[in-house]
Amino acid sequence: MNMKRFVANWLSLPILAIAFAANAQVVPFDLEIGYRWLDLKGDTGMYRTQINERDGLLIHNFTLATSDFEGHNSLTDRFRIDVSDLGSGPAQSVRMEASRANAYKLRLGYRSTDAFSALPAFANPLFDQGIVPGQHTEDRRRRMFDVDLELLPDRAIAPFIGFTSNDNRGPGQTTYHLGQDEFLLSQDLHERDREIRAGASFHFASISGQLTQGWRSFRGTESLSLASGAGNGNEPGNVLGQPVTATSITRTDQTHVDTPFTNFFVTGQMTDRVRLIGNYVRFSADSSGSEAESSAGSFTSFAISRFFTGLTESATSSAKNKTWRGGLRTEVNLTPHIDLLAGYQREKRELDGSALINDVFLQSILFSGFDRKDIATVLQATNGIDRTDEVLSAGISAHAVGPFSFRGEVRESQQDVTVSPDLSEIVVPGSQSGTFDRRIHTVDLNGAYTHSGFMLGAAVKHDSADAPIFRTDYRGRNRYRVRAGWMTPKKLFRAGVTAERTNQSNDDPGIGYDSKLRQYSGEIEVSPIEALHFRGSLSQFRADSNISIRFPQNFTIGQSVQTEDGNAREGGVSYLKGPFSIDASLSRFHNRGTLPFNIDRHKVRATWDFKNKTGLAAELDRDKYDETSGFFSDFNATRYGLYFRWRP
Amino acid sequence: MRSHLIGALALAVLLGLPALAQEKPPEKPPEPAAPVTQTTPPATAPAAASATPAEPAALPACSDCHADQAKAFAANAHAHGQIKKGEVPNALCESCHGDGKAHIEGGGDKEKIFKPAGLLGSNKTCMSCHDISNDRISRHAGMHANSAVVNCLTCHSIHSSEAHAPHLLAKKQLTLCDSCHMTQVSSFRNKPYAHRIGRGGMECSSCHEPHGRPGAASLRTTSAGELPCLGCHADKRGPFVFQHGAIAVGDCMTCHEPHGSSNPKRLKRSTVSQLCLECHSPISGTTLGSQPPSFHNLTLARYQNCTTCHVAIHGSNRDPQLLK
Repeated sequence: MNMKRFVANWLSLPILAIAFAANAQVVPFDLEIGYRWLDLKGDTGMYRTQINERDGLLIHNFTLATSDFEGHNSLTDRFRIDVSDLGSGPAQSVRMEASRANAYKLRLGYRSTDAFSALPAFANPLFDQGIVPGQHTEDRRRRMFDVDLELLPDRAIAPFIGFTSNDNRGPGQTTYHLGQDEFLLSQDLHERDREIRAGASFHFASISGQLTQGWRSFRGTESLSLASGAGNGNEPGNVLGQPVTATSITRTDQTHVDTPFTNFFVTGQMTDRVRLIGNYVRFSADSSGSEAESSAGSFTSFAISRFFTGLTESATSSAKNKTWRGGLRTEVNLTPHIDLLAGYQREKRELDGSALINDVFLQSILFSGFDRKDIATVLQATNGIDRTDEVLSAGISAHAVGPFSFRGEVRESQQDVTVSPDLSEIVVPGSQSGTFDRRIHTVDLNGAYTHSGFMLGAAVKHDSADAPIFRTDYRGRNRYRVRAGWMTPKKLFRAGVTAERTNQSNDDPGIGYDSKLRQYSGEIEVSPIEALHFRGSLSQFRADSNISIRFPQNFTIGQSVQTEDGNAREGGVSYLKGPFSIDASLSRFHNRGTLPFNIDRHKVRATWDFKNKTGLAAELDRDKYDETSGFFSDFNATRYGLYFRWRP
Repeated sequence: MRSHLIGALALAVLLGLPALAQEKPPEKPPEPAAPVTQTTPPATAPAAASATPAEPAALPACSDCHADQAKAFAANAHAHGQIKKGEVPNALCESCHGDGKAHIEGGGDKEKIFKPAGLLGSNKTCMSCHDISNDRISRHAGMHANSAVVNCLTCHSIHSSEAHAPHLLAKKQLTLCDSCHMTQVSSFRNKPYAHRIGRGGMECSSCHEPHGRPGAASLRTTSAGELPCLGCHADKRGPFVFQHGAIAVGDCMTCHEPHGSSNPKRLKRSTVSQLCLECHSPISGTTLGSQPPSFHNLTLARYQNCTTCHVAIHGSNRDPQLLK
C-alpha cells in the first residue's frame, strides 16, 4: 500500500472516530503511528512465507473508546474502535462497536491477511537441481469485512441483520500435469464470498434462543496460462520417442456456490434446577462450475493410448452438500456447583456431484499395438458421500467443591460413511468405495485442586474405536495432561509447568500405526518490584509417528517415520518507570526432527513519553531462521520501527 | 456402551427428579446488592439502581475517594444507562461491591466492603447477569466454568482491563491463554508455520469459544455450523464433484496442524508423499482410500511432492485425480 492511499484510506478512521465522539463524556484515546523498516538477508520467499512484515507506514495501535450515557449524542452512547497494524502489516484489523442503550448494537470488523508462499523445497520437483523457489507460489491478500446490527437489544424479541464479505485475490504459480509432463502455469485467482444473515434473539420468561437465516454466495474465478519459457515442461527428454512440449496452455475455471442456511437454538430453564437446550443447523450448498481449456503442443496420453498435438476441453459440473445437525442437551443442577449433563447430537451430510467433461484431442494418433481405452468413464462422473455422525454423552461437572473442581464425561460417537465413487476414480478396484462404520467410546476426566496460590490440575482422556475408516485412524488413544502452578499473593513470583502426552495406535495387520506426542513446558515470572518484571520459559516437545506404507515404485513395504524433537527457550525482561518503558525478549527454537531447523528471535520495544500525552516508541524485531540440512531457506530479518504515540 | 450412556442419562433424570420436586435451596445471600443489569431498561432497573434518588444525602459518593476508578468506569459497559449528571452513583458500585455504608462510615475500612475476587466474586457478581447457556456456550458448566482455578475474574478485569483488548480482558488474549495453555501458545510463538496470533488479525478466540462446552463444542463455528477454518478459507468448503475423502469424511486436522507446525503449509508431515502414502497404501484393503497410486517413483523429487501434480488436493470439479 503506498503512502498516499494509506493516508487517504486509513487516517480518515481516527478522524471519523473523533468526530463521532465529539460530544462524548469519556474519551480514552491511544494512537501509535509510525514507520517500519526491513533489513532482510537470505531467502526472501521463506521470510515472506513465515513473517512477511514489510517496509512501510503503519498504524501500530489505535484505540478509542467513548461513552455518553446521558444522551448528549443522540446517535450513540457507546463507541469503541480498535485498530491493529493497519498499513504495511501482513495482518491488519479494525474493529468498531457502537451502541445505544435499548436501541441498537452495531459491530463492524475488517481484517486483511496476506497469504504469501514461495517455499524452496515444497512441492518442488526441481529442488534437486538447485532451482528455487518451488513452482507453487502465491501472493494473495484476503480481506474480510463483517457488520452486524442488532436492534432493540435485551428486549423480548431483538431482531438482527448481518453481512460478511470475504475476498481473496492475487497472483500465483502452479503446475499442470498434461501429456506426461508438468508445465508451469501463471495463475490469477479471485474468490469472493458473501453472506447475508438475518434473524432474531428471543427471551420469554424462562425460554430464550436465537434463529438465524442466512444466504451465502461464493464466486471463484481462476485464470491460468503457460508461464513464459515453460514450454518444455519439467521433464527433459521424450516419451516413447515423442517430445512433450507445450506452445500454449490457457484455462479458465469458474465456480459458483449458493448456500442458504438456518441456525437455531433454544434454551429453556424448565425449573430452577433443570435446563434444556436444543439446537438445529441446516444448510444446502449448490455448486456449479465451468471450465474452458485450450492447449497446443506435443503431448502423450497413456490413459487413452494416444499422442496428440492439442486439447480443447470444456467442463460443466454441479455438486450438492446437504447437511443438517440437531441435538438436545440437558443440565441438571444438583447443587449450586454440581451439574449433571447429558446430550445427544446427530449430524447428517449428503454430498453428491457430477461433471460433464468434453475433451477433444487434436490430431491424435494411437500408440501402435495398444487397445483404445473407453474414455466414457472420464466424460461423465457421479460421486456421492453420505455421512452420519451421532454423539451421545453424559457427564458430571463439579466445578467448585471447596478447593477442588472435577469434570467427567463419557461419550459414544458413531460415524457411518457410504462412499459411491465414479468408476473413473478407481485405479485399482477396492477400498475406493463402500460403507464404513466407526464407533468411538470416550472417557474424559479432569480435575484440579487449588489452595493458597498453588494449583494442581490433571486430565485424562481415553478413546477406543472399534474400526478405522482411514489407515491413520487410531483404535486406541490416550491423552494425559498435568499442570501445576504457584503464585505468591502479590504476584512477586509465579511459576507454572505443564506436561502433556498423547499416544495413539492401531495394531491392525498391514497398518501398525503408532504415534506418540510429548510436550513439556515450564515458565517462571519474577517481579522484585512493581516496575520490573523478569520471565523465562522452557518447553520441549517430541513427536514420533510410525506407520507401514507400500512404496508404489516397487510395492515393497516400508515404514513412514516422522520425528520432531524440539525445544524452545525464551527469556525476557520488562521495566516500566515514569515516562520510560522497555520490554526485551530472546528466544531460540531448535528442532532436531525429520526437518531440522533453528529459529532465533530477538524483540525489543522501548517507549518514552516526552510529554504528558505524547511520546515515541521504538521497536526492533529480529528473526533468524536456518535449516541445518541446507541453506536455500535461511534468512535473517531485522525490522526497525519508530512510532509516534499520542494519548490525549 | 450405548446402554450405559442411556442408563447414565436416565440416572441423571432420576437424580434430577427429586430436585424438581423441591425448591432450590436458598443460597447464602450475596453481599452485593441486586446487580444493575444491562439487560434491563432503566425504567425497570433493579432496586439498587432505582434507589439512587433515595440515597441518604449524608453519605459521600464512592467517587470522592475512588476518583480514578469512577472516571474510568464511566466508559465501562457496566455503566450503561446508569451515569447521572456525570457522576457514577453509589448504587452502581454497590451492585457489585455490596452496601458501602459500613465501609464509608468506617473511614474506608477495606474489611467492610465486598471486593469481588476469585470464584466467590465471580459467582456473586458476574454470574448473576452473565449465566448464559446455549448449545455451544455454558458459562456455568463449560470448559472454563467458574471454579477456584479459573473463573470470570481470572481473565476479565472490571477496573483495570488491558487498554487494547476488548471485553474487559485483564491482559492481551495470547498472554492470558498462555498462563494455562503453554504448549499451544508456544507452538504459535516458536514454530515457523503458524497463524498470526496476537500479531493483528487473529486471536485464540477467533477459533475457540472461551466459554464453550468441552470437546468440539469449544470451537467457534461458522454461521452455517461448520468448523472455524472455513470461515476464512471459504474456497475449501466445496462442495466438489471430486471431493478428497480426507476432508469429506475427516476434517482439516486430518492433514493440518491448526496451531503452529514445523512443516510447510502446517502439514502434519514434512514430506508430502509421506502424508499421502500413510492413507494411500494398499497393504490392507479394509480402509477408505487405501488403493495404491499408479507407478510413482518415490526416489525422484517429483513424486515426493504429490501436490506438484495433484494441485487441487482439497477437491476438484474438473478432474477425478485432482490434477486441476
